[in-house]
Amino acid sequence: MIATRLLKKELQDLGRDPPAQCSAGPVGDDLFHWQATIMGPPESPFQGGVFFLTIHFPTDYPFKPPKVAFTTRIYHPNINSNGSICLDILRSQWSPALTISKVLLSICSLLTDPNPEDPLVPEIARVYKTDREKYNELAREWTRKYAM
Amino acid sequence: MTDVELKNRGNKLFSVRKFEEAIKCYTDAISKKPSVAVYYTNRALCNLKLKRWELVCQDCRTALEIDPTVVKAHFFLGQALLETDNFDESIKHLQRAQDLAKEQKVNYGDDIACMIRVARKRRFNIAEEKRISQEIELQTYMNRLILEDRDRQIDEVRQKYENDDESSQEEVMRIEEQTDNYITEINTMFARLDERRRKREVPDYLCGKISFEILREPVVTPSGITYDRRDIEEHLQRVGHFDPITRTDLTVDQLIPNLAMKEVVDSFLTENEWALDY
Repeated sequence: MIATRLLKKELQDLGRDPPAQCSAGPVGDDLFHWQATIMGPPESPFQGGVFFLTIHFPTDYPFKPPKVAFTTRIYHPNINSNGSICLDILRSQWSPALTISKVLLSICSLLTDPNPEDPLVPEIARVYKTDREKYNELAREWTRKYAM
Repeated sequence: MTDVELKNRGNKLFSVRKFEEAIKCYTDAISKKPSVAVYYTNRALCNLKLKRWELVCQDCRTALEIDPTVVKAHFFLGQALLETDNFDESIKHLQRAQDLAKEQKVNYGDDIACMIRVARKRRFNIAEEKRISQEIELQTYMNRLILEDRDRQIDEVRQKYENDDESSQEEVMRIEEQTDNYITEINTMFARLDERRRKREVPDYLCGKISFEILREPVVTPSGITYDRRDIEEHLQRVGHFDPITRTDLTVDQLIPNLAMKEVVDSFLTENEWALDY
């Protein structure tokens, strides 16, 4: 099976060259179930927060995308209360050349630049589009409450 | 029954895994007509299943005397020789089987290539074990020589400065210090050898961009990216018709064998046989 070997390699590469503000690794000895953390990017209302995510790899990885979800609550138009993330590369735009490191970096940039045109939580998207100050304030408040 | 009927009967028995009875049929066929190579190779395959390596070798060699271009004879012989640790000869016959299969355009899928990899890897592992134990022996031997030399030097000093304790003490200390240095240096050198052996890794540029396994059948896309054929075909079939890295449109007929890369990988593998099943 490709997946096992590939996940070992990804883990090794993560250890050698960790992406900025992210970390990830298996939970226990199950190579197909990982936990990741993302530090709230500077210059975003999430700054200072530590966000936890779970990652489940399918057995036919990398031909199917990993399932990635936030376990820490976050106020963001593309992430709902279950932690589901609306990100194209995790769905229709998946490519087997992607790695978990690249996925985490994409999530980081999604935190900095939400995509209100394709929202998972329309209410947050509305606030983001119409009242940016209020959005920033609520996002900061949730970060303090759940991610610090 | 004629020899052909006996052979057909043997084949039927073989297909239901009644190997002993199949062997009997082939043996009868051979005694009726001893000049047909396939009777021997069929019997060899039964014996291969029963792990009677010696009998496999005998039948394959007879088949090859009748017709030296029988792929199966080389293939089964190669396997039996591998099982009996005759690696060089095994690899020779497996390679011959692969060449003949290509010439005769018979498709064995990846079976022969796979067996060659197994044989080379096993040969390498055994040679490697031997190398390691020789190194350990050499290391022990050199350590002992250094210590013996120290004792010899100290004896000489003691004789030379029979009545001068202070000078001899000084000299002995110098010798002991030098001995320690030599031993540390020798052991560091051997440790480095060992370290290199443990850190072996195939460079990323010899690996396919999907599975990151060493490229077996490299193919290049119009974007210039090289993938292993098996992986990229699976991607095109299951994920979509695009190049995984550049995301430009891609169909299976656009894949071109990357022969230069194949040569690079093959030459790397010749020099780094530990990577054969990487």
